[in-house]
Amino acid sequence: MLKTFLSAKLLCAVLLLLIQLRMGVCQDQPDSTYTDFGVSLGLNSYQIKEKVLNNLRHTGVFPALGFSYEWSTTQIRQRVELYLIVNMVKSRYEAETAPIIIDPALSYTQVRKMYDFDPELQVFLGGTGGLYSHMGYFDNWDDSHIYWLTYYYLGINALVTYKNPTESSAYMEFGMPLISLVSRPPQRFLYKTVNDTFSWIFSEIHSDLRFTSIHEHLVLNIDLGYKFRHSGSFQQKVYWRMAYINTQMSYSKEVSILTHTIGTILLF
Amino acid sequence: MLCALLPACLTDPEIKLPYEGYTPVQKNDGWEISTPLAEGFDTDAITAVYREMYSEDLYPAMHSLLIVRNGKLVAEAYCRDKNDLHTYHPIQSATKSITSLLTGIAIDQGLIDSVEMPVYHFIPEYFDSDVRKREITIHHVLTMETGLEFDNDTHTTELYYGTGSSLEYVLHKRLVFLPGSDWYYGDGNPQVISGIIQKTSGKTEEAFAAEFLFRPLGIKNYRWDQHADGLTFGAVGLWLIPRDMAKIGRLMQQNGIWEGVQIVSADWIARSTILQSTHHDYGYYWYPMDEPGAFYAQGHGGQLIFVVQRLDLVVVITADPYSNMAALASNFEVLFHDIVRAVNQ
Repeated sequence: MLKTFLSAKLLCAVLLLLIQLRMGVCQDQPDSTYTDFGVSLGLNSYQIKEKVLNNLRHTGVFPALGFSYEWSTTQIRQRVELYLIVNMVKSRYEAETAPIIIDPALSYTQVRKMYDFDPELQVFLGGTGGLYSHMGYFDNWDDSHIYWLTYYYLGINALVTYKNPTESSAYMEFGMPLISLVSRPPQRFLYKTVNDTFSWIFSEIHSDLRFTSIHEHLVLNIDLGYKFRHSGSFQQKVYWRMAYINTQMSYSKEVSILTHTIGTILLF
Repeated sequence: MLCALLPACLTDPEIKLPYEGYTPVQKNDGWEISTPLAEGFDTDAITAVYREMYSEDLYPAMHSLLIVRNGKLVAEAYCRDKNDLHTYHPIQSATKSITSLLTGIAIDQGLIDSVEMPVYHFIPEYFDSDVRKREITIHHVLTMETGLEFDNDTHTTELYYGTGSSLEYVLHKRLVFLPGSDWYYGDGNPQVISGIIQKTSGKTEEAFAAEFLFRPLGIKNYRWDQHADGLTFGAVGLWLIPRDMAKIGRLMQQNGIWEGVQIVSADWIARSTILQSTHHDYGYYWYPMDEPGAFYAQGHGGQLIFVVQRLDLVVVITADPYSNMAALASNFEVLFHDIVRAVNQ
């Protein structure tokens, strides 16, 4: 584990060095600053296999909501995003009622321009950090416990944008945590512990936090979208976002989450 | 690559293991192994039952099914995880039925004169000023007719994780009906029994069970949770391997005799498993069935010990301990009745 941790640290250092080196290449261009506040509405397809519960896949489709704030210069793009997925998932055995999933996420991303192939195609590289918390209540299978995955992370982020002559742009973003502080449930629960107070839930989903990296906790985020201007400062993005999480902590069992979200972001 | 990711899905594997039959494995645990045919079952019918158990379409929360007849283990399977053979499993409220058995042993030993004795006689220090509660007898506690307002949805967790006296927590609950005048299922009542066993024997309920029940039956691989005050939980918290649940069933089927030794009196077995409540189909923490000598222990999610004395039959079922049997269409009584119908002679 220490070896993987050190490898992740080394990878981060190399990336940061690359970013610093490339900054010199791209910094002599004229700079401009803009800010965007975004409201995101999407339709989320959620799939989860929580092996502490059982090995079944639970799936569901439900709206997702997000808020973001971006402030950017020509060279640097920064974004803070709060994203909330609430979903009603079910396994193939459940017809009527559906277990509840709540996944809030908070992230900060900063990327710097690395490559300027031409005025239209630009590549940004940088880092991302934040918090992701998944909470699942699978009432039909277990009416007495919540199941969770909580992680705080630092990782890499890459952004490729292509701007066409009409000022619209397409983009693809990739993010991946490298170092994470992760909490998972034990392999086997003791007696019923569900308690609906905020303090209890907060404490439960932060129990047994441990540092880890991609060997135990692999997360891939891919965001593909198209941004266009309506009028004045009002812009809109349409996007498809995919997140894949696979976590296997030594003291717990594996959880896999795959989400696809299609939606739009209104930028003001 | 993106085109490949767009429709990406997690696989949805089968929840059960492949069917491998139901022949019990030989272990040095006191069980004599036999076959359904040798013990008078219709083998095809038993096979059909186990096929249903392994079916992906039925009983998704089920873990194990064991059949004992004539004192022999004739069929056994673990459809979710083969390690369930060795792994103790929370038997949930079937714990209460063990508490009932231990009450019988305590009476046999003279620690408790009779079920008509008031609880106040044993543990007066935990009562509050409501004098009506002093009328609560052991019979009321064993039949869930105390009248104490103990709501399992909230109070069981509070009891389980509480830090004060568990007996005081239970006995200070408001009296919502006079003792014996109604029935209300609550996990607080068996805690009172645990307290009386500890007070009268000088041993926790777990230690009492270890000496007078588990050791004679050869039950070694178990866990029994206790409250912060040191009292064993009387209502829930006992973990047993399925084969040891079957031993409890066999003891009940044999009227309290195990390998020729009377562990608990036949009188107690008979009394605790017939209708005792005048307001509900309930014995002393056992559920009587329509046929005399037929009864079962039941725990949340489907932890079951069925006993039919006339047929010399014990059936044990375990399942996900916190699952909702109704939502998952897991009516295990259907399986039990199929097994009863499979008895030829």
